[in-house]
Amino acid sequence: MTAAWLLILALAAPAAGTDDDKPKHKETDAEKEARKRAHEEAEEAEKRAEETAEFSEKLAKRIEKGQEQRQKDTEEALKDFDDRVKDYLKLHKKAAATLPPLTGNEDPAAVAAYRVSLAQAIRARRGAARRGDVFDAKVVPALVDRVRTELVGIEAGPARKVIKEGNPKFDEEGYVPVQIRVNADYPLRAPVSTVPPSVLLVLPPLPHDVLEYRFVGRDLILRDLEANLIVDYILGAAPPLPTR
Amino acid sequence: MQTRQTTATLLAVLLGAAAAQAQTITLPNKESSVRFMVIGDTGRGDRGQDETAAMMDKVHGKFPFTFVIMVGDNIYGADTPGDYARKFEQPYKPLIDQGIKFYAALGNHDNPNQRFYKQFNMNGERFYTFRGSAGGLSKLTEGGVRFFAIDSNYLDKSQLDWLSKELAASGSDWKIAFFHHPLYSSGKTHGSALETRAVLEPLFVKDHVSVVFTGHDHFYERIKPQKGILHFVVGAGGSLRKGDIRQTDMTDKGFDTDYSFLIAEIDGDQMYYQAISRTGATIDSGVFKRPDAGSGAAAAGKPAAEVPAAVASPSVETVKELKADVAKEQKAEAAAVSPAPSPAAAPSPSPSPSASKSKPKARKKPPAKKP
Repeated sequence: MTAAWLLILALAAPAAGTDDDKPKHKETDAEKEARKRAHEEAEEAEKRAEETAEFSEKLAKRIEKGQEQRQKDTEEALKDFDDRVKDYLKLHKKAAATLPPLTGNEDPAAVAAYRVSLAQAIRARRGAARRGDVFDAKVVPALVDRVRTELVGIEAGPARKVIKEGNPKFDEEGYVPVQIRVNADYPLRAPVSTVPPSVLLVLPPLPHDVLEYRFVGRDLILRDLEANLIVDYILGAAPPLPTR
Repeated sequence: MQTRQTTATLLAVLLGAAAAQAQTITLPNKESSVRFMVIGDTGRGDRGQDETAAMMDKVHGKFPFTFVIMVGDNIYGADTPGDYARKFEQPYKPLIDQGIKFYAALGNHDNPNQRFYKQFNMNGERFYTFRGSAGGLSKLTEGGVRFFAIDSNYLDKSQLDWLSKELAASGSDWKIAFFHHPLYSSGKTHGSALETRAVLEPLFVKDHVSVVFTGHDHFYERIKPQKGILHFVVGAGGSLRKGDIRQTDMTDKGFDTDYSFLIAEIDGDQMYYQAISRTGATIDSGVFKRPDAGSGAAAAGKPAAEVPAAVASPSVETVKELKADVAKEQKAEAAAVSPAPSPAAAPSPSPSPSASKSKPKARKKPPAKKP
């Protein structure tokens, strides 16, 4: 009987060295403070995250709206550019109407005389023309962006090479200075740059055989090819081009 | 003194021998065929142009070509009436006086207003087409020869649309394009115009252009046919860049040591050609059979199998795709090109008429044969 009681007592007794034997830990004030601070910080972080998400959402909407606006502005700018080109074409035609037309069967003197007379007649009609009258501030970024997209990067290597062909600042036949001014003559001695087809296909089309885009160095000029006149220009439209 | 005399005699003998070669025309010279001359980069108004022009006149005495095509850089520098006289009318006066017609394409040194100059027969257009073979009733019975003058300085949409339409509409057996920038060239100074190639070659392949004449690089080069098209660089009619041909596997024949020009004759399905130097030496000659001959593909307007349908009307996307392809091709080409030999290793790196055959590599043998 005694042995049985001893066995029961032994089984019921907790094992020696258990946690219950240790004295219970009492949280210090400092620890309480730290825990409280951590909780507050977590809450603040959560709040900040929510704020950031909200801000990002608003920003994304603003960017999207901005992009839409810019696209709309670009479209409007390009449309306005097109209108100004049409206005120039009207002016060119009016000036040309004062002269006997060329038929393609002229001698060089007649062609030269026509060119000089046409240039004079155009200058007389747009004597007050200034830089930006056709390439206005709104359309310039769009055009520069298009030109550069086609001329930057490894694949654009051939196009960069092309715009140096016949370009007065890079031509192998020697440098012929071209003074870029509105209504100035394009020098007769200067070659005209080749314009890469890839660039021409992304720029707004111009009236056939009246206006053309050409490069002088990195500058894009709008040239009246019959009158040999610089109508307007954009400085530094092309990216930097390595010299030979 | 004696040495000088000997040298002069030797020179005279050599020049005489060379001039004698000019008397040898390797072309069939049939009255019924289309006979013409090709000149490029001529308008300098200097001795080189004058002497080459004099040889052209001599050749015309033996081979009466009826018209001349000019592949651009017709008038370098200013183009005052005096320039037209000095750089065109005076050198070619004997030919002009005999009623030989000149058809010009514009080069990067040409003022686009040259299109109004009557002697260039451009009718006020930067790009145009004309029939090289006889008109009249023969048009009904034979396909004939049609030339397409392109302004490669300014390949805008309007020109590409025009070209696409004209090529597709033409029922001519021979469609020959001429313009300034070479689609293929081994020139160190310029070389192949890849951008131009990207937009023009697909149109040429699709609508069966057989031959392309260009200039810009100041030498003579006949390229191994590319995609069935025979390409010539004829840019030394008045300008010369000695030693400018680098070694590539494109060259079938190259000549960059003197001024030169080309005469050609189309007789049925064959085009005979002969390149001649300023001194009258024959620097290249051969015959090219029109690839579509007998198949009737050109007349029927069948598109070539490898041509993507998208090229029918070039767009920005098409050009981008083609550019990427051409860039890849160019990289492969550059990798395949052997480095230029050093002067010590090869005393004459520029291909001479006899030494210009390049390594065959893995490319296909050209169909051009010696007559």
